[in-house]
Amino acid sequence: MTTNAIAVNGVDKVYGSGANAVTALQNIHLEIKDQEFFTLLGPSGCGKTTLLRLIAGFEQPNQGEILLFGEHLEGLEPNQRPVNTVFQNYSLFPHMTISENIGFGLKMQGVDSAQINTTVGEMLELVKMQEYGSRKPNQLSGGQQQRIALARALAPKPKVLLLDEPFSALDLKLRQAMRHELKQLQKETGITFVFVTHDQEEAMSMSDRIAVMSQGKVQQLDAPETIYEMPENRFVANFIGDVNLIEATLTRRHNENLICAAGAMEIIAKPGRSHSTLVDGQNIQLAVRPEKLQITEIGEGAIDAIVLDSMYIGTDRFFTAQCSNDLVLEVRMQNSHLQERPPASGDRVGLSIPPGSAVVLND
Amino acid sequence: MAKSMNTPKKTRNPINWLKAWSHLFFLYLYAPIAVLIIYSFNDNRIAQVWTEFSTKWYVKAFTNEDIQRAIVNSLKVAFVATIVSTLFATMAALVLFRPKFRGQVISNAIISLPLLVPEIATAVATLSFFAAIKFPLGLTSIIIAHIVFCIPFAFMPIRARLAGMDQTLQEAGKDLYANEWQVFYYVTLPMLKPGIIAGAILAFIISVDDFIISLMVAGAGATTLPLYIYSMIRLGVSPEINAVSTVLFCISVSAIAAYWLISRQTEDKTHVH
Repeated sequence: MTTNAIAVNGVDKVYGSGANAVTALQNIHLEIKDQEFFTLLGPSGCGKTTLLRLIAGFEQPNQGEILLFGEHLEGLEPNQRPVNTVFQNYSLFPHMTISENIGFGLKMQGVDSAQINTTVGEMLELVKMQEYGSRKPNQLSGGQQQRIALARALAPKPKVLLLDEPFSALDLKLRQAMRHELKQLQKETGITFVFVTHDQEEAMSMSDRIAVMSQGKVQQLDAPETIYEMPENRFVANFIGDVNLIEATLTRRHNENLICAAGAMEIIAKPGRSHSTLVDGQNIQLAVRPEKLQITEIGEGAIDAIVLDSMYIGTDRFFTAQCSNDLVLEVRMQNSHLQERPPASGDRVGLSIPPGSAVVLND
Repeated sequence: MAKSMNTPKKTRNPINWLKAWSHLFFLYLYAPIAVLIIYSFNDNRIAQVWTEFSTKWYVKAFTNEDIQRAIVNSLKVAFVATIVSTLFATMAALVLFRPKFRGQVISNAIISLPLLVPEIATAVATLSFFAAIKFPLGLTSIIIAHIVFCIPFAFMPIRARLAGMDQTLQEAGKDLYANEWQVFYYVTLPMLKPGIIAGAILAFIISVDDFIISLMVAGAGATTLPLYIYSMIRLGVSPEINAVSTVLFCISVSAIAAYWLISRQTEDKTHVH
């Protein structure tokens, strides 16, 4: 049996009291596996940072418990927990050199100075910053400070590394480069990473599993592909990528699939999870990603539509198409093949939704 | 046509007026001090009539045992008052900056209040207090009084420094296995140092310079430099007074200069952008 790196059991966190009480987390249950790259993804105020701070020990839960490799963390101060944090603004100690910053955790643990020097050297090498040991933090660029913050948190060899939006202060190019580096670092060190972000691309590209959070609750916990392909509810579908939400009626079932009607259009949808309770004739909510829709010649699709708008963004072309029944759909077409003439606004086209590309939502 | 549009009329530029005014202002501020210093090097025993350059008044002042004693007294008072008041101010700032507690706002106000109370009122109050508890007046009473009024001056820069400090640094310290005391010693204190030094220097200058409170609570034989200068001037203005005042001025200026040098050194070390 493998133990989980972190188990969160029924955790509630409320700030303030009485009429001013704000619920930050509500009955959170989740398990993070050893050596996993786990991401807490959600908009600001969803409780993801609060959960991270509870694990680090900066805050205490009002209810529930958190276990680290099977051991209770309750009552342990942050300095007694074998987890380290990479802070959003790096929080490097400005009065210490880079080496002193990286060695700080080991020094506080009482490691002898020869061993500290060795480890600091290793860490500088790990983040490819060997020649910067004697500098001060303010002599480094944002990206370099970011790496030192990582090295400092990894130096004491924590059982779990917590990362609180570590890339939010970096520019886009650097952020993308850091994704690869961080993923690589996680594989090399074999340490469990808990990563907090509001950036879905960041979450998708690095994570083994993602917990999508909103309003203090976990909305869905799955691998990135599952989150994108099989969103469970409207929030997840909307938050991750672009989506068309379609109101439909379940007409009948066919094998695994659900045959639904949206106006004049028939859609063959995949059931989401736990949809055995659905009955024929029930109103349901479908989600379809814009790139799954296909534009055809008029009359050849499942439904005819008028192109309202066409937007060229280089890699793709976005269309907004109005179907005959007041239904407006977003379509995304990859710019991969030469088209004689892409549909322009005002054109009449056919639209089809390939079987199984629509998924039924829970709400 | 184009010329009249593109050439600014220099004389009308309000910035130039401001510049002229600021020069006048500096003259107004520093001319008296310049005169004081220049005439301290005047050979003539009538202070206002220039004859030739001489340092004899400095020699005279420094060989005057009363002046020597006054300088030593002033420095003794200032050193003790600076150290004790800075210590109190640092502790107060640390407590007042902790997470919110009952009476935090009031406590902040109470610490800073002495800055607003008229000094003469504080002086009379201090004297009455010493009289009431029958505390003997002397150097000790001056030191105690100075400690009290130096605290808010030392407190201000320390609090400002604390307020500008990134609170997550303490969290980072705790996260990296430092206990509360280690966080204070290795993180908070070094970062607070420029504020503490600034507070101490401010307290030192205020103490060396104080006249009213010192006048009230000084006992016999406990004459500080400002008190001595005042007693001299009652016997007539001599260039010796100019010399002694210049010395006092230099003590203050060197304290401020020391602060500048220290803060310039620490500034670039302690700011992360």
